[in-house]
Order: sequence, then structure tokens, then C-alpha cells
Amino acid sequence: MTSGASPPLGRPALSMVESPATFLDGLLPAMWLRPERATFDVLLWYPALRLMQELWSDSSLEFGINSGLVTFVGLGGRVSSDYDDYLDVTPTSLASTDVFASVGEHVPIAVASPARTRVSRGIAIKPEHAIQARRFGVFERVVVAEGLGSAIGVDDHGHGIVWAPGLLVDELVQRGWIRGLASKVRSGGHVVVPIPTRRQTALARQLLDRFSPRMLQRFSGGFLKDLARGTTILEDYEREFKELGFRVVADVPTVKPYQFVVYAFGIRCVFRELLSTVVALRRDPDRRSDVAALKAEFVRSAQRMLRPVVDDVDAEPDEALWRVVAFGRGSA
Amino acid sequence: MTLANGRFAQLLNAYWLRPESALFYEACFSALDRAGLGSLTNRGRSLDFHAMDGIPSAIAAGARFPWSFDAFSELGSDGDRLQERQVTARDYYELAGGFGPEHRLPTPLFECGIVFEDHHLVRAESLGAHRRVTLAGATSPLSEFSGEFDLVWAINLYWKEDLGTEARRLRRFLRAGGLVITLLPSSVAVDTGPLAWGIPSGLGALLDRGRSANMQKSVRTLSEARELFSAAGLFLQAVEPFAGSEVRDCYEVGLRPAFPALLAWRRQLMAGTGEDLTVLKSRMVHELEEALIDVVEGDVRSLGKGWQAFILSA
Repeated sequence: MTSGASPPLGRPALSMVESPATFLDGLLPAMWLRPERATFDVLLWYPALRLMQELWSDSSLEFGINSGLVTFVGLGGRVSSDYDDYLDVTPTSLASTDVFASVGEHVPIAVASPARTRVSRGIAIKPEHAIQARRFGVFERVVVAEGLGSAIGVDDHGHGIVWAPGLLVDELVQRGWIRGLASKVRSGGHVVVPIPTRRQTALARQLLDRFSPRMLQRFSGGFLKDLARGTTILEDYEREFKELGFRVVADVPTVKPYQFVVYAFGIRCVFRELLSTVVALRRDPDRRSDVAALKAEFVRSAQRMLRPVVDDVDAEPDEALWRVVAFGRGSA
Repeated sequence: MTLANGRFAQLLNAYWLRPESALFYEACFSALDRAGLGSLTNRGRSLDFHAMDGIPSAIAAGARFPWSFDAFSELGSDGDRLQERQVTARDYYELAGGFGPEHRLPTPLFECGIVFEDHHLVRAESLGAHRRVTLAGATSPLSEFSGEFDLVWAINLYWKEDLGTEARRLRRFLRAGGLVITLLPSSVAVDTGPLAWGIPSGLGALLDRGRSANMQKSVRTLSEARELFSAAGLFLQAVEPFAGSEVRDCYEVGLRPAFPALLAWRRQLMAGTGEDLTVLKSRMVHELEEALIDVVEGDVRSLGKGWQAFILSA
């Protein structure tokens, strides 16, 4: 199967964002202080959505949702330019050990235009994610199941397509998780997951071996550790799914090494300082209005450099650090 | 407010919007430390060849700038033009004017600086790191400098087209017993750098600004470098590799795409809250130093070093 724009006859249509650059443009107003994260999300999600266009179903499930922002934008939704993820960050939350977790969780979502396609169900592992995801309105129903085990146990079966973008860590490859995911798919349905390759594992180990604790804190330490475990590779998934009656129906390579370096080894090291400046400006009544102009120009400049990075989304199999893989259950 | 301490903090203070440049220079200067170069001061008559604006040379020679100084202080006064040029210009600094008198160094650190472009002349003259600055044409023999210098600092040699000709020119500048300090990329930088990464050409042009093309014209191995220099009458006293994969990843790709956004950030802060910019900047420099100091310090153990620093004698 190759990825294409038109669904087979009889399938419900998935209407997605027009291009990787449009996807990035849609994410940046919300994630403007994390442009590297927006870039990486596009590199994983755009090929996945393109793939899911061909497999879409009237009953769809996103397993392990975050705030729903990426799904919302990927399916054609737009937030207003004055909305962002950092509107309610306070100096107290900035002082947290993991500053990347200090983004607002209770910010009212300002939807400029709704998503063109809705996902039937979203399973959130954290309650705060469910609150945000409901506000985006991209899921018909959001279920909260705290913790992965609980989420797997949700009695919600018979979906035509299950997308699990956020479960990149090694737990998923354990038989229990895969069985749980598989149990939510009806016969003829599909599971779509992004999977790191052995090259990604090797690169993560290489960086992890040489990064000091200070670097791990400022660059992408937690993610690198997950990737370096190296248990979530394609062969493991294939074996487990095969035993459950699934087969690989599509396999799309993505994320080139330089794109991973942009993500893992770039601007994220100054995120704390960028965010603390924005928080200080927003708390000063005389300077609050400066933020809009600051954001607008920052976003424009980030777009200029990062659009070519996301436009380069089609990787060759032998250079890709990730694969987006669709597993089909039984005969389609 | 206190001054940024240490050479790396000084480089980050100057290049806080291009931290990858500060990282590269610090990795290079650390390699020269390991090679036993020692202080650049009190080395007799010194020449900064292809000095550009002179900032890294000045910091290598011990200059200490206040927080209010940075390499971009004259950029951004014409926003629309700058935005346009960010995409197309080979060198952002073509837009920049000279430094203000408050940032002129009190004492020159090099006897002479040779520059090859008008905008570098303006900036280098206003910085005051050189007692005099000479603008040379691309093929100028610069014969007036023959046999004049005890130390030729030529860390930008790799930007020149014909390395053989330039090496002979450097030799001619030297007095008996003098030293040339320079650096060149190796085959590792070419074979494992952005050109080998399959970066699309449009993005490559934004990130690269000509460095990869220069690298390809350079020598590939240490023995080729030795041959190049000895043909010019320069002999290797010490060589130290630097810029392993972490430094090069960060330098070539990682932090580089952030520059336009950080520059825009600075410009807006200047417009709205300029009085606080030095506070913001000092915090940002501290954060960058915390993030990157271990990259520099780990470079000595890093694999795949793509550059070599040379100490050469006549």
C-alpha cells in the first residue's frame, strides 16, 4: 500500500491538513516556544495521517491522547493566534524541576476553525489532557483512564482504526499492551503506530552515553532514555501483532538524522529562559501587550527556517529513524 | 552588573543568538590550549589574517566585553530588510554597521588585522582589536607585510578559495621563528557533515552559507595538510583535532535554525523593553553555558572529530 490522498470507495473520508508546512503553521501559534517539538510532531503525524486517509473508518480511536492539539491541527483545525500553551504558566510552575511540564493545563482553548474530521474516541491517560482535548472538540468522546494499564483495560472495542501516537516507550512492546491495543480493533480494522528504528536507538544511545546530567536536563533526556532502551523496534511489533492475527499493511519511513538533531539538540535548551521572559511580560500590565508582537515575529522567523525541515518529510527506508506502521487485522 | 566570566561565557555573550558559533570557537580555542599554544599576548608583532569583525580573535586574545556588547548590536534596525536578507544573504553581517564607541576595546590586541570585505573593515576598525586594519583585495599580494610578524592568527583561513596560495602568503608574513595558528576541516567533517546528511538544498542554503562548499575544497587528511603547509615552507609544531560529533551536530544543524527566531526575539524586546535586555541576556548566556559547557569539555573524548587546529612554524 502506498500513501495517497483519496480513500478507497466506500470508506469514510479523513480530511487532513494540506501539507507539512501548513501543519507546522497551525501548531506554532500554540507551541511557539517549542518550535522543535512542533517540527518533530509534524514529522511523525503527517505521514501517519496521510496513511490513515486510506484506512479511515467510521469508528476511530486515538489511544493515549495528550491535549489533542496535534490531532486537532492535523485534522484541519486552527487555534486563534492569541492562544498558546503558556497562557497560565506562573513563576511557581516555572520553578518546577521539569520545566517542559509547566505549560498551562487549564487554558481556555480559542478555536478559530474546527477540525474537519472528528475522531470517535480519545483515551486520555491524564485527566488534565482530557479537559483540554474536550475543549478542542476533535474527539466525539474522551475517556479518562489514568495510567497505561487502566487505559488498556478500557472496555471500548470494535474500532476500525486505532492510532497510538504517544506510546513510544518500551512498555508498549510488552505483550499485554499490544494485546490491549489489538483488542480494540475489529476484524478488518487497523492499528497505526510510530516506531523508532534500530538507527534511532543507536543514535539515542550514542547521545545518551556522552551527555552529562546537565545536558540531559536541558536537552531531551527523558525521551533519549526511552529511545535508547531500544525495545520498541519494528521486528518486535511485527512478531507480537502477527501472533494476534495482524499483518503489516503499510510502512512509511520518516525522520532523518538531521531532523532529529534539530529536535534533540537545538533551541529547547533555552526554553526555560524564553518562557520565563514571556511569563514576566504577561504579568506586567504595562508590557503585556508586547507579547503579541514578540510572538508574531518569533513565529514568522521559526516558520522560515523550519518549513523546509518538515517539507522534507519523505525519508528513504535506509536513512529513516522512525517508521509509521499500519497493522491490519484479518482480511480488510 | 558583573562581566561574563571566562572565555566561553564571553563568546556566548557576543554570540548569544548564535550559540553554535560560540560553541565552535570555544571547541577550537580549547584544542589550541591542549596543543600548548598558551596566551596570545606578548608574542611580539601579531597579525589577525582574514580577521572578519575581529570578535573571536579578540576574545581568544583575552578581551572581555560588557553584557551590553554583542555581535548583533547593529543588526535589526531595519527589520523588513533584515527579514528578507536572512533568507538570501550569504553573510548576515553584511547588514551590520560598526560597533559603538562604548564597546571599542581600550587597547589593541593585535598589531594588524587583514580583512577582505568592506563591511568587515567597518566593524573591525570600530572594535579596536587591531592597531591597524587593512582591506585587501582577493588577489592582493599584501607585499608590504613580508617578514613582519611573530604570530599570524589565521582561524578563518578555511574560508579562502586557494589554500596553497594562502599558505604561502602566511609564510611570507612571518619573521624567522614566528608561528602561524590556523584550522582546517578534515574529511570527517565533509563525509559526515550536512552534505552527507541529505539535507535538501533549500534548507542547506539557509543553514550552511557556503561552509560545506569550502570544506569540500579543503584538505581531507592530516598528511594532506602537512603536505600543503610544507609546500609553503610551514612546518607542523602541533596539531590537535576538535569538533566531534556533538559539537558538529549542534554547530551545523541543532541550534542554527534558531537564529532567525532568536534575532526576532531580541529585536522585539529591544523595541518594547530594551532596558531589561541585558538582564535577560545574562540569564540566557548562563543557561546556554550550563547546557553547552559539557559539550565543550567532552569534546576531547568525543569521536569523529571533524576539524584540526594547527600550530605551524617557518
